[in-house]
Amino acid sequence: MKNMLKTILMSAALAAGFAMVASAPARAEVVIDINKGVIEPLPIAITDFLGEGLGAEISKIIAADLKRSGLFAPIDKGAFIEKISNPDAAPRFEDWKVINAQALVTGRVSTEGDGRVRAEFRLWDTFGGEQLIGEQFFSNPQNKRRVAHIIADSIYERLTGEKGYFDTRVVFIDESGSKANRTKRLAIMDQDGANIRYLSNGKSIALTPRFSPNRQEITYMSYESGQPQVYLLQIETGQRELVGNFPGMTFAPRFSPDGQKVIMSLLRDDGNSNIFAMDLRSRTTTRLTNSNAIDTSPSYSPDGSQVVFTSDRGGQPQIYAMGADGSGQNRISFGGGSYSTPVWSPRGDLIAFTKQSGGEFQIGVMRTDGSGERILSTGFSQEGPTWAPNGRYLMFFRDSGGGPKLQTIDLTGRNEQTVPSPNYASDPAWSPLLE
Amino acid sequence: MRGSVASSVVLHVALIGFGLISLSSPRPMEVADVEALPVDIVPIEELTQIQEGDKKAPLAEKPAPKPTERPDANPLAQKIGENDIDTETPITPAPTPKPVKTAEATAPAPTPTVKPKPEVVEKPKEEPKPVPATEVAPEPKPKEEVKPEPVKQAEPAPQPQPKPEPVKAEPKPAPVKQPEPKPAEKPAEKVAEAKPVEPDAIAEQITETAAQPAEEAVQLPTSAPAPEARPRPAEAQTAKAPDRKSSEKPVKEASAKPKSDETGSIEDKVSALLNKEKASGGGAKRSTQQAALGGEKNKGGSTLSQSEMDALRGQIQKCWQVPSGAIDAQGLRVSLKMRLTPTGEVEGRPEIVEGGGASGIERAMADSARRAVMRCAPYNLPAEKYETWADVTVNFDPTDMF
Repeated sequence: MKNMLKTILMSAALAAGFAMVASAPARAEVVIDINKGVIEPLPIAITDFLGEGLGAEISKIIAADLKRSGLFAPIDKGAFIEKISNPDAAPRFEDWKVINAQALVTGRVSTEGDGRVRAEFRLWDTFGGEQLIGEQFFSNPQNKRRVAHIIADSIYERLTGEKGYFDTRVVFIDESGSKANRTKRLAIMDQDGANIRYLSNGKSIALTPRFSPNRQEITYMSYESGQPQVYLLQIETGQRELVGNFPGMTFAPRFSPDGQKVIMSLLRDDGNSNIFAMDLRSRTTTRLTNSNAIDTSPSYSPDGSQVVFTSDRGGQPQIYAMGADGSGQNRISFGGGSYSTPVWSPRGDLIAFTKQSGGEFQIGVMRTDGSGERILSTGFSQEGPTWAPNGRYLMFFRDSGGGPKLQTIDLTGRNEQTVPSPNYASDPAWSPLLE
Repeated sequence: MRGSVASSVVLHVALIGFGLISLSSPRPMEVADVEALPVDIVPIEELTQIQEGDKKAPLAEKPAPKPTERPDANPLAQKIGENDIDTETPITPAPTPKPVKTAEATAPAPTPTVKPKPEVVEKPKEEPKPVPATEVAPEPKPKEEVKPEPVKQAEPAPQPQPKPEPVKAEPKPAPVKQPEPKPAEKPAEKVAEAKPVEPDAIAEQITETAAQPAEEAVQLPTSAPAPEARPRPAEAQTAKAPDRKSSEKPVKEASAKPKSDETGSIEDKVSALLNKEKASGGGAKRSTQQAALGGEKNKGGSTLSQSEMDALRGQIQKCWQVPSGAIDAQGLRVSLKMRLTPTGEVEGRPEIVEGGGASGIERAMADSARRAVMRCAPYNLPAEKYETWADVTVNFDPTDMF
């Protein structure tokens, strides 16, 4: 018996030995693990598109979009060696590698027989020596900026791996006039500040506009009827309607992710406010909170299952979360100071907020359970964050003396930029990507 | 009271004054000038990794084993063995130096009968036999020790020659030769030779006297011959040195004599040792020839050292621009395989072997990884290890970055 065991063990050992020998690599191979990289703007060469002046304009818009994202560094055209004469042929990659262009954009704009504009572009990987994208678009000449934004989105998505956000618009409150007699108008513009358009006449104050997630529709608060009420506005038609008919003042409206509901606060005479949701089709309202405190600024999670809001039921305004039906209300923020305007990221991973402490206003983000709070920007007076549709950028408004201006900042806290606007601007709301 | 106050004041003033004068400011810290030492950083692998032989290496023209065969020239040593046999008979004539001690024991007839005529040489031959005798043996040995050394010195040169020669001359010609060189050669040699002759004569006298007293005389002769014996070797040495240079014959004499001093077997051993040394002198030990199947290339034993790997890693890291979409992505990993040319350039297109989906962040990651390795080329890697880094797999994983 012992002998048998011995022979079995021996043979097993032999087999293991053979297996080890057999599995030994025939040739040494170097394996390197790269766990770090650099995060810096990607040098990209954007050549002027061919075609009647319009080409140069479009490539200029693309370059501006990419540059403002902070992730790209468009190379000065003066450094270009090769002049692109045929965007359909492969460029001389060596010429672009020399100027360290890691990506190259070429294109052409032409006018079709029916008056439409045809834009085509190609994105090249200069070091890989291959074409990454080749697309073309048709549009009417008035939409040339949109065409440029769409191309920029396409480039952005291909190179960063994330959805772009350039073909979006921002609705905001345009503030003009003196400080004592300020005119506040509802306005909309492209995310880069162009194509500004006014949606209200400024006779009555409009506040807190919010985009519908899937329609060209805005909900906002207006004093039109004498007391603040929440309205719906169709952007293209200008059609306006009152949301609900509550015996009190309603404010801080926001759409649900499916666009079917509006959630808002209702202030009652006793000074307490509670949160209500209204179904836009059936016009039925649901009460979600019932407290003797001020519950406000509700915001749905992207899947519509949860709502985050602020409440001072604990003394200081803090952020709370609850189910979409009002169940399971629990506090998630525990920092010092007071929190307001929580907004759930379109990606669902973060909640942006305004925090007021020590006489300063801060724009920050935290995880949905309240952990990992990170302040992105601190200023004397700033608030009202809104997410870009890809969940990578925030827009808010800051008053650094004189009047408010819109700012964008990325999630790293770097790359803070002012959005150009003709007048003072506040209360921005970022639209989803246009269809 | 006043007195104590005054003394106190005086003493304090004195103390403070002393302190002010004698306690100077602290010495400035001296910083020694340290010379910078140039330091070369050499990866330990260069020393520890041994070249492997290559089975496909071409045959070397001069294989190493051949030189090792030469020591077989040991036949020379065998010839020495013949010496033993030959010397048995002539031994009697050779052992001149120690006759003093053992005159009695050596009494045996053969030696005297054979070479009484060849001068002094005969009698010393008789003496060596006494050496084996009881008490005498240890004493003369230390003296002899002095001798053998010179003997060795003298012998190495003649070795090859004397061996064959003794065979021829041992019986009678040996003594004959001695006289010949003396007159013919340089004066120095003559002197050297002449001296040994004289002591021999003295030795004879002593031996004669000692021979009669038999064993009792043993002690006397030991003491007496000692001085004699010492000079002899010394003389022999001086004589030998020139001998080597000048001519063979005197050398033969010198070698022949010391041989006779000691027993034949020791002599043979010594010469055998010397022979071996000589033979091995041209043997494999010295050979710096490359082994026949010596390695031409470094193989598995030579991997990239840690520092070289780090350098490569650093180079790629600098080139890798992490796509921003990777910030939140979990378990995002791209593995890429590339083939390098000996100059460190990337050959062809790096192949994505893991990760790199069809859309979104995975594709952007794969693109960024490929761009990184393409952009970093050429890689600065040790050319002699090309075999080991011809194929490189790079794993990109940004998880720890954020």
